Amino acid sequence: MNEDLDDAYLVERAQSGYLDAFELLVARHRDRVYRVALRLLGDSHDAEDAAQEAFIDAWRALPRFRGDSSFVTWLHRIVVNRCMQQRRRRRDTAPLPGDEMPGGLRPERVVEERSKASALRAAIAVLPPEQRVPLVLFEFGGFTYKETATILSASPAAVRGRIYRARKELVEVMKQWR
Amino acid sequence: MEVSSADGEDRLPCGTAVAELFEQVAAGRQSQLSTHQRGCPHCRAVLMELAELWGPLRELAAASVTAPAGMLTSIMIRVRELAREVWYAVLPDGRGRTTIAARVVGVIAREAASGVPGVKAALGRSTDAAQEQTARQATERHAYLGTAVGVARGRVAVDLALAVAYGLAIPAVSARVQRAVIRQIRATTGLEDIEVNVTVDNVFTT
Repeated sequence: MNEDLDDAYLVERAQSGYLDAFELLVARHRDRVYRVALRLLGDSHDAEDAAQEAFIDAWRALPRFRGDSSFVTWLHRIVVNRCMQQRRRRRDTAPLPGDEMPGGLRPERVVEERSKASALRAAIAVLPPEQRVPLVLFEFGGFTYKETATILSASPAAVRGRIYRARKELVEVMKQWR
Repeated sequence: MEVSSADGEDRLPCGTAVAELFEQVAAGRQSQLSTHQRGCPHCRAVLMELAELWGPLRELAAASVTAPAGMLTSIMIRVRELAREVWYAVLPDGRGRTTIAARVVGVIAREAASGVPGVKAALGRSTDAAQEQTARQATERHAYLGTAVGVARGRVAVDLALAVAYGLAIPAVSARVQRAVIRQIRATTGLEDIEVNVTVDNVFTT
């Protein structure tokens, strides 16, 4: 449906007030946004909340979007901010294992998980944010290093380094599951 | 893994950066060996090990994850609510910013247009109630519900419908209305980029 309309055109229509155009943008990007939120937050309810709020934030900020970057990278900057806020709020009530540990990972905690897959999800959830965010954007968001760097306002080299450290941590966890 | 990190970067004894091998495996290209890798036991061993260890992450990334069924609907319900109220023109200046609601601009436009002799003006696409209703229904999913005023990023678009006194030159009246509306919006709001669309859909006799 309307696959031929590109994001830039829909954004322009949405900016001049057409809700149908914005609805198409939401429909087009919702799966990717939700997937990124899910892997950043590790919980499906939190992810749905964050994804919804991110789209509302995007609608509010739309008049100020000038097309300096693509819509999808701009949108994901909003998604990342929302998820980080959500996590901070969550931490005020129940501390998340990863947040107060600068090293990120406590293998002995992760090993308690029952399966390899849930151990991996838990290991991603406890990575420090500066590693988790670029890893998730790249591996689960399907962004390139360059796009990930644009989203995070960082250099591609810095992003590559952070993703490498994240991969190293995850591989260490997976070693216990061979 | 046999690694050394003399220069702060993990390297195999053959000099290959481990990060490169991670990238190769993460991209699923572990079996596309370079000339060096074909002859290098260090590289091949690490690639094999990583390919195995990275498997669960590849599976997780490949797993189909779709947004919950009701998400689109709940987002659009909230966006529609916001669209009724929250379209503002934003005037940045050195001390902060001023925001002006679209409907305020609409009131100014209608008053300015009505001040032009020989004109009855209504905001919207028609001066005729039944026609205006049709136009409204046709554009129901437009953000500026019923207001016929669009503001975005300091740009203003106003739709005005006019009834013009019989005998007057319609193009001249329309031009006077556009000038009056633009002048008044500029003078009272400071907004510069203004478009006024005029529909003349009725005449009246005095």
